[in-house]
Amino acid sequence: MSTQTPKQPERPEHNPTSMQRVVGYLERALFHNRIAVLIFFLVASVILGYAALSLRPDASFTRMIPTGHPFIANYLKFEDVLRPQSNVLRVLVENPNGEIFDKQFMETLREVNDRVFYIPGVDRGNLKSLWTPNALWTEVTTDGMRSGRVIPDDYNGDEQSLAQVKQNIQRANMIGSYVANDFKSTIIRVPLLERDPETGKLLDYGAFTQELEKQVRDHFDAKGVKIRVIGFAQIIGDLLAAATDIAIYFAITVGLITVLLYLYCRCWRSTAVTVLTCLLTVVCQLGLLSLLGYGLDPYSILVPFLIFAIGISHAVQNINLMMSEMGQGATPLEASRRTFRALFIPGSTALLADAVGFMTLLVIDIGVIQQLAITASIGVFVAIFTKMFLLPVLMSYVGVSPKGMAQQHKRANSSWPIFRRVARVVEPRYALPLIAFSLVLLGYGYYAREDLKIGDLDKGAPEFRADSRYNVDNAYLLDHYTTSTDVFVVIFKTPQEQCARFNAADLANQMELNLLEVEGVESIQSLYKTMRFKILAHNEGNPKWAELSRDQYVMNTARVGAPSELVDPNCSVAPISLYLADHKAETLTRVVNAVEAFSTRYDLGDFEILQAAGNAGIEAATNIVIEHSEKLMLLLVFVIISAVVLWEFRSIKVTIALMLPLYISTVLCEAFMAKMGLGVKIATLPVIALGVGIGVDYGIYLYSRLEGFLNQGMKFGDAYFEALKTTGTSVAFTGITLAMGVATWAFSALKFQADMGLLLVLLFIWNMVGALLLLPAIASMLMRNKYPHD
Amino acid sequence: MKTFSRSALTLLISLSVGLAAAQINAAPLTDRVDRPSHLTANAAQFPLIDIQSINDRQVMVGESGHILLGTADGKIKQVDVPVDLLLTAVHFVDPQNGWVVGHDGVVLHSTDGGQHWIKQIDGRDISKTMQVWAESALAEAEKASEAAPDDEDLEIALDNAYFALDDVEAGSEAGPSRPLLDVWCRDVNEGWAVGAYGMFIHTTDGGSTWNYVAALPNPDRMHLNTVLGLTDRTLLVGGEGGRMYRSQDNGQSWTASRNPSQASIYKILELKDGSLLALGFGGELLNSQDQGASWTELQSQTRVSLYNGTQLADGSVLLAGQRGTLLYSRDGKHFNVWKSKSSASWLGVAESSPQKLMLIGSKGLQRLSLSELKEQLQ
Repeated sequence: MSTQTPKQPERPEHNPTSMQRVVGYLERALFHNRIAVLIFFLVASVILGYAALSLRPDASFTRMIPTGHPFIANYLKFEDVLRPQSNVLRVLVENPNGEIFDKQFMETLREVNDRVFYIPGVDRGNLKSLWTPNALWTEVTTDGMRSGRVIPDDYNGDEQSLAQVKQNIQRANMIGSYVANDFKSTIIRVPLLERDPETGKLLDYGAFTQELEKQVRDHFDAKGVKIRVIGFAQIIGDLLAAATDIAIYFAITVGLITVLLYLYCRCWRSTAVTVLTCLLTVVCQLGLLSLLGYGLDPYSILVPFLIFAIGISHAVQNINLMMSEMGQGATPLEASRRTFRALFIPGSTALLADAVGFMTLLVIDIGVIQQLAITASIGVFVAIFTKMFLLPVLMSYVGVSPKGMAQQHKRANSSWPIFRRVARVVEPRYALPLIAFSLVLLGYGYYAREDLKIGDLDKGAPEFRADSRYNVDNAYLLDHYTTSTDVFVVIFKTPQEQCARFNAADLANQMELNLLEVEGVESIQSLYKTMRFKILAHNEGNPKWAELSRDQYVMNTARVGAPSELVDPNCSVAPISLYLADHKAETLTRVVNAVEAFSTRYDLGDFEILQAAGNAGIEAATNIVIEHSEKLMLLLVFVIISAVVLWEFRSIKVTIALMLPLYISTVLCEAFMAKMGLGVKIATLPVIALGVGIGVDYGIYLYSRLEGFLNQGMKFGDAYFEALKTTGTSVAFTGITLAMGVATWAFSALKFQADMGLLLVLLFIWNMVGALLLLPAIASMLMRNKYPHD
Repeated sequence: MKTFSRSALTLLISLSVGLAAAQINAAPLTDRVDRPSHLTANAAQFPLIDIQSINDRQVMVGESGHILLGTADGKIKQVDVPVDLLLTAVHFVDPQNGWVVGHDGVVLHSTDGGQHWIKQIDGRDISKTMQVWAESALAEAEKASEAAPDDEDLEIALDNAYFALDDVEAGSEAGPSRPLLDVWCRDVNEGWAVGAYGMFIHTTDGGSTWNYVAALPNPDRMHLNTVLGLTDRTLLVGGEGGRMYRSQDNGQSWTASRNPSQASIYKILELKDGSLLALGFGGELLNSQDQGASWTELQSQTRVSLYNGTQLADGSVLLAGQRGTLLYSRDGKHFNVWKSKSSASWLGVAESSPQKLMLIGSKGLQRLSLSELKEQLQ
């Protein structure tokens, strides 16, 4: 390609003989050593299959977040003081029999507290509940300030001490944050350590949540108190726990596809070989992942299925051609060799296109997506071997069963009424309106995808359905507590020991006032709010004193004893926590912009205003990264896949004919997401890229077949009709089969899987329709000079 | 090509000017005594500290320089205020002329019923006034003490003068750091304001100049929380530690009143029958039948602090206090305690029309009718 000069005619450089020589060489190498090939795959399968057994689901907080983004860099820099607001679990303990002020219940609460405390992975120093020593109250009396533990040392559970606890809770201002507004439940705040400080080992979220489930949830549910857990770790835990469900759906899909495959070809041999090689691809992929030291995280869990789907798509092409060859009287071996010769180039190209398509996901600086890119690319890499080498060799042994041949015979002799009509799309009177219609669709897609949102759009965890346990628990918390679970932390940084300077406090306070104006910010918690309260408290509790003081002595006294989540021990980092109404992308964007606007409006001097931490702050960073890289990723996918297609067919026009339908289906997919209220986020973004990768297969197979007939001198309409008979059948069958298989996901208990399933159904169908109708229409119109119609 | 390069040059210049402008714009945050307060849509939900009814209108002051006007038809309007800090008290002498005081020694003045405010002075001015007074007081005390070296009283006076000067200097070191806590004006010309660490200022020219009032016997420089002029022209000041002061010569001389308690006094109210109520820390409630010369304790039935109150049109009295506490009395002597569900403190009450109440406090403004209040709180 690179040596090609522009003045040369269209396809001189493409040297079919050299290509054919390579294919011919490969063909001989493969079919002369069939036993060796089989042994190689057998050994590889056994080794990789064994390795796959040790593959573990894994998940990590740091991999879920865009570590390269400045927000996250800031967060990680000050992680110690920010952790209690970021990677935190809220364990809610509810007394179903009434208020929490009950001797029995308080005892149970203490047990819950102790059990949680000892679960490995808990940041014990920052654990906070009614029972922990960091739960303190302060009060002003005639004799000055008094303070103490919420549950005092002399607590004995009698009426009087329970009344005391209730009073202390009010004095400690814990209602709405740690104690429900209706007093029927209380929260244990459990910050988690992502990395064990002693061993340095990463927290195993699956094991952690299972432990929590067993030690706390099950144990105390049986004892008659209701436990609810909210937080990142619980989401991951629930996703991992649902892995079996996901696998069951995969199994159903695989079963369904097998049945459809058999109904289509009526040949158990080729059905078995197809499914076997596809499953083998998945097993080898998982084995390679395991050998490379990766785990399978919840968001990559659909990749094995995608690899299976891609495998089916290629295998069907292979089998279909094979049957057609055998139908013309070839022996299995001959048919297999011919099929190999015909399909090796388009097949490998298509798989290569898939692989680079998936690789483009690497541009997104979020660990899980990059891992997904690697996982998927490894899968496609394996598929090249199993589909291009193993499958033809296996088929050369087994051939097609007589029943299958009969079916093939029947099909070959039918008059193909549908395809005869479909083939007419290449005539201008159908092609032009069709192209016009698809451009209108594209326009509509552009219009509709304007509403496409980044990030989560619903309350709670969008991975689960609204009535899932997690979301029910989350809704309970939101209903019964004042402080929301969506916390955006702005990091206010001062030089050491200067956090309590009047200028710092005045600036931070000014920013808080500005941020309270932002729609969606419900309340703010900060060191400075606490200091104001302390100053008031030191002045007999008189509200006329609730103002920050210029007197440094007053300010320093006010800072003493501030909780560790409000300021670091060096008095240089003061997280300002904004409690948000929700974590919708618009809300987060408004907050980010408001903070940015404030910090650029003023010369901050020694002070810094940094974003961001808290679950909402981290999500804001994720949204920003996704929004920025979504377009880049799509651009890369299209550019790279176009380049592969261009390299294969050496024609801009063919590339346009192949890529335009894919582009339309991508835009329509986004439009559909906008209409359905699905946001672009970690769970959905990969689907778009993968969709393009899968869609291009159809086009490559179809066009290479069509080109073959055209080069034999056939008219466009006839050539396309012939291509439809073999490749078209496979494309239609694959599209429909995969779509049907994936459609079952709609019933999954995981909303995340159901959403992905829905998007994949659309992509499979649209890509198929695009390849069968739009591709030939565009190709025929663009190349009417080269390949005349009449 | 020429036009292109010229326009490119123009673009470059305007860009660099724009950049420079952006840098100039990023000035440090202006000091809160010199920067205007924010106008915010929900100012009525921010803490409000004091409220005054003037006929059928109300003026409320609160956090972050918020001043809200309540109109006869029940609307609330936030007005522009030249400072951005906690305002502590408001007093209008007639429907047009009024003063507001706040932290950092800020005194604001309006001549149009609260629509517009100008800052008359802030703590920097007060510090200067007090510095001048303290230096001259010290000079006088030194002179007197030198003249009569053995006079113990003069010795104490000298010590006090030293302490006063030290205190004034300490107070102004960090800038205007001391709050004014209350203001009361007799007419458009004359008024008094009190504040932290014995701050006490007086004007006779409508606030153009304010002078330090030194005649109050407060050598420990305790906080002065409230000032009130009675209908018979007696002036009263209440303060920290139960200090009560009284002047019957328009502030020329002051005497300490006897107070049976040491709890801080936050507010003094004059009722229609001429009796007085003083309220304060820890449920302190005092009554005076002799214009503040002597005080007797009343049973408030509560231990929470009381901040303010008002006598309603029907003669009953409603007091506002800490942790959602309201005290209600038909006769001004016997009180019932009402607690609202929210633990937010109440800081003031006004009757916007008969039986219609406006309650202000740390959660902002709430409107209730007296009957609703009785139902909800009893």
